[in-house]
Amino acid sequence: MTNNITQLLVNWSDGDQAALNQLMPLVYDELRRLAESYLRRQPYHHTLQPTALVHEAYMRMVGQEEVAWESRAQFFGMAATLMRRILVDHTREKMAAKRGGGEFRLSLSEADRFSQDEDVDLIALDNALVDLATLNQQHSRIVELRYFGGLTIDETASVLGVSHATVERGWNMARAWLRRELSR
Amino acid sequence: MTPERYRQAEELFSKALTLTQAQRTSFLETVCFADPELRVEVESLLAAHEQAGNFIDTPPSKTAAEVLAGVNAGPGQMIGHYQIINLLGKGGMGEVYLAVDTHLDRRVALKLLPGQFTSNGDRVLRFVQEAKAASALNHPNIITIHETGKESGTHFIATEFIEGQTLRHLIDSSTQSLGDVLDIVIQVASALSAAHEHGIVHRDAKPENIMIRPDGLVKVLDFGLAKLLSRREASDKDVKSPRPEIKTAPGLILGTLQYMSPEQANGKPVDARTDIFTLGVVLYELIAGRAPFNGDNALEVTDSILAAEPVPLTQARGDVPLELQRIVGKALRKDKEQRYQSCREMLADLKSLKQELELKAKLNSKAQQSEITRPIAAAKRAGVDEMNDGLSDKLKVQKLLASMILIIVTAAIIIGLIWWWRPK
Repeated sequence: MTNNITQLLVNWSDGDQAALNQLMPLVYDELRRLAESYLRRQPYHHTLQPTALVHEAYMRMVGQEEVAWESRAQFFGMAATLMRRILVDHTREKMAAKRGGGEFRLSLSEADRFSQDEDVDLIALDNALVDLATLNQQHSRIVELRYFGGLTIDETASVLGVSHATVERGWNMARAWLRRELSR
Repeated sequence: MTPERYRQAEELFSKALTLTQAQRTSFLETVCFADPELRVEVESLLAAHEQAGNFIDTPPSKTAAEVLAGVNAGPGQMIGHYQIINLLGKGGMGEVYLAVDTHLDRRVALKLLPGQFTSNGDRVLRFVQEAKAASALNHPNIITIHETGKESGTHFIATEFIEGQTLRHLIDSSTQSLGDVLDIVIQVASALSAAHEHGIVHRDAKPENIMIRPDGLVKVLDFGLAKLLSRREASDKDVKSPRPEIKTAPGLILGTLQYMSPEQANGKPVDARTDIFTLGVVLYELIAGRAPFNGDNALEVTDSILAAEPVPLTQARGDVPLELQRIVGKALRKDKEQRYQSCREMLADLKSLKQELELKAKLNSKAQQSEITRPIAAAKRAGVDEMNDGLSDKLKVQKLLASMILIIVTAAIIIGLIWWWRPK
């Protein structure tokens, strides 16, 4: 399995799009399995970093194999895209289910105090990111890597093959732009 | 907005960020002289930047894991009169949520059996059995069951919500002092004892299923695999199948396997002594920081459980008294006939040992002050502090008196000898 993944990664690095199509479901499966096992490991878990998931998925799938850093970077980049798709699709489904008349009441008591719901409207953010991509593809990608992939600025720089400063600039601008868009 | 516009705005925005507020205004005035609309763009972006707070600073972590793992209930959702707040975790038997009991306005842990299993009679039965098993028990170290029911096709169990951490967390994070270890294990043994008295064998008392509160109170959870002994033995088709529900990820399989008794690993019938073995494993792990039976895969771990002797505790750690080694050893006998035959027996030994250790500690520190009267008062105080038995008081004082008498007698002998051997 490891050889297969590594090979697919390398092929994809070399520009083989079909390899990506094969890789994605495999990575998705692995992420899902890991998420389940993280959640099960303790009946009461408290925090989970998506980066941890992605890193572990990488270790399990590619492991210690000698892989060019470009391939590694692409893996993380892909995982971020996967996460984005998964989360947005899930949120869309949930919204649809709610509108369908399912029970949904938020009481203004304990629920509010302890709610750890995301403040960001994921669907609005996703739409805005699509718009941003038409203005500056790299900036949109930076947000995708950092927000959905949980990567640091340095890791993002590594994935994109640009400098730390470039990422920081792009991140600041994209973030301000998105914030403005989402508050309109 | 066009890409070109965006580029222009970005250039000015980035530059402005390096300036002070005052400088920004004059900078923008100058540069955007011919293009006031651009200035508006940049200023609104700067404003957004200032007000961003922690906007998208951290990834939506909880959602990611929940979504990936295919979790079913969302925040705000009502299950009967319980309102979901968030997912706490996913166990073998279902998902556990933090929820609010809207009648009593208190937090609870809500365990849900996923909808798709409702038609699976066996799983439903086991789910309900868990509720019944734990609710039949009333013990400070066993999780309190509030209610169980079915709501819009979803089976649920509402239990007390416990703040704190699991023993798994504790073991992974730091080494425990022997005193603390004994405190913890005594509470677990106490809980298991109570369960056994009701004819309930836990079967899965591993560190992930034991929690410790900030105040030190230990709670045993998840009676999901609990076997009700006498009542169901006749009709129970899984008398011989003790393997906990395990799927997928290899790490998870191993984690559960390491706590199994030899008879469980062999698919043989289980009884109270199975829990004793598991308790022995947990005790070992708390002391040594690692599990007694290891391996790289399921086969190796099972072999280890069935045939290997664990590394002696005295080797794993410097301060392990022989008696503790003996207790662990007796709990970990492969042949259940050789083990402690009841949790009460083991509990008694653990308590004695704990008293001894405390006594030693007190004697050591008091001896340095070389006042003979102090130890009695200290022992009395310690006896009063003990939550448990009235026996400790007497026992301690007796032991102290014995050592004091020994000292006095020795002193008398020495004085006598000196008198006898004085120069004539």
